[in-house]
Amino acid sequence: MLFSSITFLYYFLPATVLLYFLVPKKLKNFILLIASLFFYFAGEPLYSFLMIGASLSGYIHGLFIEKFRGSGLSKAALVSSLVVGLGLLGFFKYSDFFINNINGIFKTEIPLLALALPIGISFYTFQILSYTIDLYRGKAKVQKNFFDFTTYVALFPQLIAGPIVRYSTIQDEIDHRTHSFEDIAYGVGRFAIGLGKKILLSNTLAEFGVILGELSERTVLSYWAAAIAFTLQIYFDFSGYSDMAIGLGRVFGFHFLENFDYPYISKSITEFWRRWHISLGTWFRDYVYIPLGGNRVKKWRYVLNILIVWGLTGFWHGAEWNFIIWGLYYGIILLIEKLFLLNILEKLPSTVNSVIGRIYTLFFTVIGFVIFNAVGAGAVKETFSAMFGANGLTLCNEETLYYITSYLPVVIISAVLATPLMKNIYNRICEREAGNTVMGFIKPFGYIAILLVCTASLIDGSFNPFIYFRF
Amino acid sequence: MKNKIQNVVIAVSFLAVLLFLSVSGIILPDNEISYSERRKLATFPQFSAEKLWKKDPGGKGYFDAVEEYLLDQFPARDAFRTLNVSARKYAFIQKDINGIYTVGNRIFKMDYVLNEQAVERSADVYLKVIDKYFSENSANIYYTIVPDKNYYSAKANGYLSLDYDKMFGIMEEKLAGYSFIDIRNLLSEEDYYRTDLHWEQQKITDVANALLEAMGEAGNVNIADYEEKRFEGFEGAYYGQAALPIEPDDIVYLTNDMLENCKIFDYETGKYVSMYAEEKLGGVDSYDVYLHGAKSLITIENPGEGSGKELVIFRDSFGSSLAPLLTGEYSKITLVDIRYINSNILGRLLKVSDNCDVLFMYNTGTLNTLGQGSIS
Repeated sequence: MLFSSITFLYYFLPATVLLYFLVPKKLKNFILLIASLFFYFAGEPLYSFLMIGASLSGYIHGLFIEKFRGSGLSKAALVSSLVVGLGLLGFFKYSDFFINNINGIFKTEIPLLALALPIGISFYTFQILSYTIDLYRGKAKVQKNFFDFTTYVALFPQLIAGPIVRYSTIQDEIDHRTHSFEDIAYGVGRFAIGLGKKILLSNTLAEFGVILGELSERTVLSYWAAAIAFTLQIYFDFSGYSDMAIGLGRVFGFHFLENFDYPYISKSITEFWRRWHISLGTWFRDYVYIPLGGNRVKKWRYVLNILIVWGLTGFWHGAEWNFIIWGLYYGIILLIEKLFLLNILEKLPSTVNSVIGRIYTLFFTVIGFVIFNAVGAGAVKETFSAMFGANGLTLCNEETLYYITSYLPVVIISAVLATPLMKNIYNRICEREAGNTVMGFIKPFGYIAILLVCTASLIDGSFNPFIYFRF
Repeated sequence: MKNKIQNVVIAVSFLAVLLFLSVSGIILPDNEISYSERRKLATFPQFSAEKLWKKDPGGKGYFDAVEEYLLDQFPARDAFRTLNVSARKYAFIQKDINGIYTVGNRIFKMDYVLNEQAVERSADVYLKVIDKYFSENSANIYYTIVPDKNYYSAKANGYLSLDYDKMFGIMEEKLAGYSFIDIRNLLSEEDYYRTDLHWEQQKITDVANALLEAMGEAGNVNIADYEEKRFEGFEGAYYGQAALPIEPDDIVYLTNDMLENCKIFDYETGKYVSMYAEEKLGGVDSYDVYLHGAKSLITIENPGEGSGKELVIFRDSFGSSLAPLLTGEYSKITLVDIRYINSNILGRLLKVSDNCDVLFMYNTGTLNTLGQGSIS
């Protein structure tokens, strides 16, 4: 089920919220569990059992890790949980990728499995692994109630597109959490803003991208416009989803960590990755990069560690070479930055650093998302050729200009909203009592207005993809 | 507002709106048809265990069908569609929405990619028809091209449009041996419905006269010779697509004793029918009032015209409103839409006299797609 669907917004959500707040405290997790399983079942009936099975695996492995703590069996249980978790992820997500490559290299004809990708498998697998690893490390407490553990794994706000909520982040809230109108109001606001980002901005930008891709005659400018549109689209799609997840979590008393922090204002790629998909970046840092030795190793090993982590980060996003290339692309840029570029940038006067750093970061981010958005490695080459005028396309034509003009306002609005400018203006207003009072009146209407306009967009059959579902 | 009260207001009002609309959706009766969108609306999907567990080849499951139903039957659906279009038009300042744009209170649909091959094939279809049915009966062959209303508005208002000069050039080159009747200068965007793609019958008498004169007949079609019948509230094909609060059109259809005495035979139903299908007014497409809408083969016999002259028109829906105006000069008019009839069947049914006039008249939008394998 999509957050941006009538089924979810007008039937599933109000029913779940009402039931949740009507039942006594001891039944609240049960309601969340049933609701979450139904939420997943509605989109993935058969794979629901896979998710429950993965939860059961994490739960049992957790019990063993705790029971045999201090002995080798605890480590064996951890390794077993990794094998099962990554094995399921590898089988369902990457089988055909490996078969394709084996067939290509060895000229074999191993038939493809053609498995549909279970929605959210990359997210819930990483959540389960964060539990068993943190439990083994003593950073998380064992969960002895299977239903409570499955509630954590299946929790519908973040089940299918993150953020990757670590068990240790909400372990106390699973058993003991409080509810308040303050949290609910915050959650409602965050959810409405996320919904608006997704439906009003991301979907419109996606539509712009599709139109550019289907022009009767492509031009150099149309490729650049499509790249910029996708860069904005993916931000509003994914950060919108994260906002909705964080907001819904807050309604039910959970405090998820932030997943985005205005990444497009970054002055370096290093900073960009501290602000983009934070839950994934920190996951790879804590569970892959640091265990590999991080930067406290010889230089060649450090370089290797970075490339491994970023190759895997790319691969996590999809079973295609372009995702691996995308990850390695960032690995290389980050190495360049860490080895010398950051030093150079920091020595520049701060204004110059701000301007040059941001232009540099945005440029390489846009280029990165071209790699990301391409269908296979061949398309990457073709798109770059077109963007840099290597395949003889004209710079611009009437059709390209028309659509760029038509969608320019939404691009400008999106670009502004991708910065903290509006948030800062809002905070400034709220600093004054009068401003705060006015905002207090406006906010409820604002959230409802966003909901209604988003509903209108859904009803009118607008384009409604969800990019991060494929991960 | 105190923060505590503000929080309660936000939480309760948001949930109340969700509940109000969801309960309304449950209580209100379902609609079968959306007249503004000219389509059937989804009904609640029948439940079965198989549908619940299995997805169709397109990857859609039972709950996707439920979502389609909920979208179609959402309370105040048309008002929400208007809200969406207004938001995009006024907040995002989009020039068109899904190809639909407005200039003042007129609605247009952009059609700008010229399919040269399709236009060439359209001309080839004409040539095949001429060769097959009129090569041996000394028919007088004419053709005209009906400009779609973008012709008069798109460029002037900054919208994309077909390369009309190229399209007309292709047709004139391919049909060089036949008489082209140019009607472009006889029309303007005011001659078309504001909410529909078609022209208005009462505004094309000069087109009718120009065609008749070019075919050697007296061009004396005069609006004064007709009684105007009017249907108010015509929501044209673009009306629903635009979903904007624009005043609907009026449909005016012209009649007189001569037209009412004509015998119109519909080969699809095998029955005689009226010139104007008044029962269609207020239906899904009120423009179908003219000669009962899309028909593959229809004849109009005018017993008041004794010359025996015949006219065969190969036409699309624009021809439906034009044909009654040409009736006074012919004993019989045969209207064929080659998009809807097999050539073998047409060969059996099409009986025309020597020296008949033959007019090909399709609009630019149809020509841009007609050649895509429509005639067999």
